[in-house]
Amino acid sequence: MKRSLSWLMAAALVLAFGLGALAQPYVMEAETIGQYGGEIRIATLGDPRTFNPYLAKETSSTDVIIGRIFEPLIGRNGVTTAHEPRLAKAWEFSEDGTVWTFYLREGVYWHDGVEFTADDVIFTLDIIYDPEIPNNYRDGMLYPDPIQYRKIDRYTVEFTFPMALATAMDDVSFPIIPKHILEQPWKEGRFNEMWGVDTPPWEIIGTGPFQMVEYRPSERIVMTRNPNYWRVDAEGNPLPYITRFVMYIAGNQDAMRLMFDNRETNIYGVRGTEVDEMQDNAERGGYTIYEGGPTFSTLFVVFNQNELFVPSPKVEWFQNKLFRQAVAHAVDKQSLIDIVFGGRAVPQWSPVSAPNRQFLKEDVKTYPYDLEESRRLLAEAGFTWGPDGRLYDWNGNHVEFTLSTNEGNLQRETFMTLLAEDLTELGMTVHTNPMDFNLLVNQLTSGENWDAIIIGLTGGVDPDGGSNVWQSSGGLHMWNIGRDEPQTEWEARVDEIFEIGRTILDPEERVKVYYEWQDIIAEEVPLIYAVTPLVYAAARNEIKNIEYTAYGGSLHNIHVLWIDN
Amino acid sequence: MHAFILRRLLNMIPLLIGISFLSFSIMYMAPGDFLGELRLNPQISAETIEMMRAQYGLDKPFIVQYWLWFKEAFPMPGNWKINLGRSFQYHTPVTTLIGFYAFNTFLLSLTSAVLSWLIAIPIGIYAARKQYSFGDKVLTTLAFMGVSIPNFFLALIILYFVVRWELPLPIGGATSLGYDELNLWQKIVDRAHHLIIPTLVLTTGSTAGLMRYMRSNLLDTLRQDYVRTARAKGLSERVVVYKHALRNAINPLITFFGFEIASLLSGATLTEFVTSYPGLGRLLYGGLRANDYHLVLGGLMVGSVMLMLGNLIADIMLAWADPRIRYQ
Amino acid sequence: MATTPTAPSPGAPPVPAKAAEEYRGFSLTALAWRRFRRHKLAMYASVVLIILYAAAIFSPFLAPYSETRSNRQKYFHPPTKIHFFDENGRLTRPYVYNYRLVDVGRRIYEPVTTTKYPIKFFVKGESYKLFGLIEWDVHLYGVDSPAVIYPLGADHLGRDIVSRMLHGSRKSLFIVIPLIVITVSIGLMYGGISGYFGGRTDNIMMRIGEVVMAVPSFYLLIALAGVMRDVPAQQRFAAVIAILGLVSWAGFARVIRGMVLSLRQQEFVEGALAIGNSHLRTIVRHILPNTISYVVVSITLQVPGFIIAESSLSFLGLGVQEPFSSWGNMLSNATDLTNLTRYPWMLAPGFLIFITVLAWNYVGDGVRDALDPRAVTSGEPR
Repeated sequence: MKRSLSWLMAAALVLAFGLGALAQPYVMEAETIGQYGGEIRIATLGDPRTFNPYLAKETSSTDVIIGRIFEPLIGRNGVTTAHEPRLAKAWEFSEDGTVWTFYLREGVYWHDGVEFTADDVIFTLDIIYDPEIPNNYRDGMLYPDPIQYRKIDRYTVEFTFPMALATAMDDVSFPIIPKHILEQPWKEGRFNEMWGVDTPPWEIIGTGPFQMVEYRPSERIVMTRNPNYWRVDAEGNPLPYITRFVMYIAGNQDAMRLMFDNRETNIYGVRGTEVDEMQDNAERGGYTIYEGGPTFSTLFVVFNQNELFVPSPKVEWFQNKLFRQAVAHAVDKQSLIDIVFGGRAVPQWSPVSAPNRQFLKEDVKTYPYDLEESRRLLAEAGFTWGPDGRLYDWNGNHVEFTLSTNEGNLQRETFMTLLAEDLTELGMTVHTNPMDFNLLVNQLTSGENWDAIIIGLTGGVDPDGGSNVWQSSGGLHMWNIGRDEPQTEWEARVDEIFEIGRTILDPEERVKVYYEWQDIIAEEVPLIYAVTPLVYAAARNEIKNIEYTAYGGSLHNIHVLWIDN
Repeated sequence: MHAFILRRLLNMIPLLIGISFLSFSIMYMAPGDFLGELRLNPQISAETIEMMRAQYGLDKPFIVQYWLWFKEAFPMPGNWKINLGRSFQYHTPVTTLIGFYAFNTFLLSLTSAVLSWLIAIPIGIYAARKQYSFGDKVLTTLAFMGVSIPNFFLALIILYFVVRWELPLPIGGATSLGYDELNLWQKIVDRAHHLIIPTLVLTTGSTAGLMRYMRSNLLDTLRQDYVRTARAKGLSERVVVYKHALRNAINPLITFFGFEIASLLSGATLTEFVTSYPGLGRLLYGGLRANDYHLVLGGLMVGSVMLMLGNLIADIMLAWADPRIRYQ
Repeated sequence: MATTPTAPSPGAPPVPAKAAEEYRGFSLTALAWRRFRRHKLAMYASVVLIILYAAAIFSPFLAPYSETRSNRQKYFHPPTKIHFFDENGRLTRPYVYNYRLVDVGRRIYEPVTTTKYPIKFFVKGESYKLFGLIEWDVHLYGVDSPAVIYPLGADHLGRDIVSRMLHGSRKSLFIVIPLIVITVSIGLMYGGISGYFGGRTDNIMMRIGEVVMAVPSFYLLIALAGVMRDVPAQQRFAAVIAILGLVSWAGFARVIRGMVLSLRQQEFVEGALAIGNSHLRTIVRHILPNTISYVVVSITLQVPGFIIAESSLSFLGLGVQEPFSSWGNMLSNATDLTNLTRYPWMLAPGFLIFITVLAWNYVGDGVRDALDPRAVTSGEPR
């Protein structure tokens, strides 16, 4: 423990002094030095609901503002996923790993010309911990006590965590908002009304590379270059290169595609089923298709194992590991990949998403599509088949349950249909039930009225971000919700792993701990994973410096993207 | 007449309260709440979700929720604004959101209404005067087809051909990038360009219906005794049709004019949806899908007011056009 | 969405006096039938409707596959080409080839020309219940496995469009019957009572009706559909009926009320009461029958609106749910423009909606001309 701490600290100190020696502006490396001018135009689904980062709860809002208008102290690199400095130029932590000092970048200005200082960081934390402002960041920053934070000087802040935390750097990557604008409304109790979509866009003030100038509901958001931005290229030219960044708001995926074909947009996220066809037209259309590999999003089926909500005998089947493994063998991943993704997806076996190389354990147990194996496992568990070919349990009850998912989602509906067919083939009676999304989630998170649900989650890099799912007391511990105590031995072990995991500071040791968790989940299959889509983007050839990744997307380095005329 | 208008306007108040109560009950019965997306977010605890529900008053009994909404939605002593409540998703007054989209929808509906009247009336007159001619038969058949094709299907077909033939028409949106820098004339052209597809869809159905109605009204009038008298007096056919019959044939259309006003904001939902046009329908449909029921409620209220106003205007115009009608 | 009924002026004489004089000696029905037959297009339209409805009734027999039967090797399968001539150009028994997916990414299928699969009639296939009663497994046509016969291609799950359209037609077409029953019964009773008793009762009942009418019907429809979201897919169809019924009765009731209001003044009502009939009996047995021709006309004119409303709701994902089919929800898969251009056969259900609505409109026109020749022809712009 001690060794690992000093190791990390040394790294941090090197970083601190190393950067201190550089000029204040932050140099962003890129393949080529760009030219100024031009614009990046993309299309996005759905309108933002607010421009206030602490009221924003959905990606259609956060995609607009985070990273473009508002920036955190620390962020992750879009390619390597390693932490890198943003508004904090460097940081260090105490011997016991609880006290963190952040040295803020000097000479960073808000869009309205006021300088960014430690006061803004302190103010942002005040907002996060204000019980009147329900936001996405607070829950992740209660351990369960809040962080103690104080200003040391104009450019230094100090956070004291209740314990040493491996996730500290992720936890402090909250976007900083300007005190000089929002403090007054906050004191008047109007913070929750601030920066709604009816605010004139130029009044949304951040430190980011872009400044909002236009918002037309259901049409577009236009941002212009921030001339005083703190990043520079290798030659010291201020970034970003492009003059304007436009986000069109499309009603659906097709509209986005048409906009790209019509050259209204110049970057487009390509669906797997479109890749070949778009590749055929790449030359005529003057674009290149980039592959980003598998995404962080997941797709799985979960059985409700909670006897408080599921009556016997159903719950006994669902609690039976062999039953779940039999179902896992009945997931026809290849057909799903072909039908929904045009062959452009990969099977998922571990709870860690495929692109997460740092934590992924490659050799977990797998369950290839094999109905014979399913039959064998079911027989082993004590299930029998009647003369009519229907499946009966050890007490002679016919295996019959409802499989739900949310309507209008092609992947999930297709998965539901295929799985239901295969399970019917095994002799079960499966009632498929596509339903309203909100309703489905209400059932899922309350535990009531469901047997099996197909749904997906989007993961992050650090497994601890999923502790709400994996720990027994978590609000998203779907298969056994609303329990304070672990119900099985393996769940107890998973709880432990997460408790330990978040306090280990040495990266390599930490990864090993999470390997064990992946093996447990792959063996017990509380969530039966399906497939992970591969992601692709098409960008016009004149856009340079693109480094497309599943984690960062096509715009993580928007600062250095430039248009070659 | 003034008294009549005043009374009708006053009548709208209890009616609106009734509608708001009915609509609120409907929305209240809708299962689930708008927090689904948040519940699935691993970063957010169940306690935070509960806190948000409390903040929006979702944990209160029905009648309290209604009163909380009512108090905020309508003018009250101390707060004379009408804001139709606050949207759950947007944290802004519903009226603001509706304001964003209302102009687009209004423009679309008005364009197609004006177009369909301009096309349908002359065609209807032509078809009636040349009853059973080849032209009449073609037009009547077309009209029948026009009213029979569902808007959303027509929109799909039009989109299909636009994509197939790579027609240079914008798909979705109401304005182009850089719209604000255009001069007035360019702005009009830009708007018109974006209106082509949705207008085509909307106009087809309404033109067809209106034309059939115009034709049959005129035929009906031409069979009346006074027209026979006029003809017998030796008046030219032109005078008979345009001076005598037409006036009376158009009167019943005024009721439809009322409908037209009523549907200015609510008649284009499906068309907007299919053609990605940024209108009220899309806003409200989105609100419905997200369980943002203050937003949906606001839409229902605005739609209802338009409907009532439309009927009132139609009645007033009817009285003005037809001296036999008197209101007390 | 035209769910507002065309309203003749309240209190218009239900039986056209002038016409009745012309045809003295015929019964009212025979008279109407005579006039209806003269409306040629309405006659053709009736034939079309009879065919469509018959097809819907026999759909499990006519459709080669069941409603939900998917085929994971045949997703987005193009329409199966039916060959009437062999390679040498000779007329032969119609046959098809099996198709093979040759390009997963581009979804290109090619026929495998090594084996011919003749089309067979009255083949045994998946079992079904005809009219919901008779268990049977014979289908009108089919081909041997592994070949499939998809005359209009397949959807994203490899389900036969023709079969799904046929099965869906039972919902899309027959939804009108329960709706007519609901609208007419609620409308007649509500309007009857309101008009008959008049005064305060009338006032209160009509205000309630106005509240329902004053909400734009399509908004009301989608709001109500939102409430019904937790209805499982199996019962969704019933929910759609309930929703449309709730929205459509008020306008109809209002007109009935107007007619009853004037009928109430006539002597036969006093007569009926004098011989000891109860109020309810007087309304049901003596007053309401007088509105019959209006009811028939109004209902036939409302039918197209019902059909369009169901398909619109299902299209928006608020009506009939997957895996079950209705013409509207089949079309919603075609909103994906990529699918639309690559697999245009998915538009087929739209044409069926169009034809059905057109036919109903013509029939409605004919019925009105037959029953109420003085009424204006074909109003109701949408």
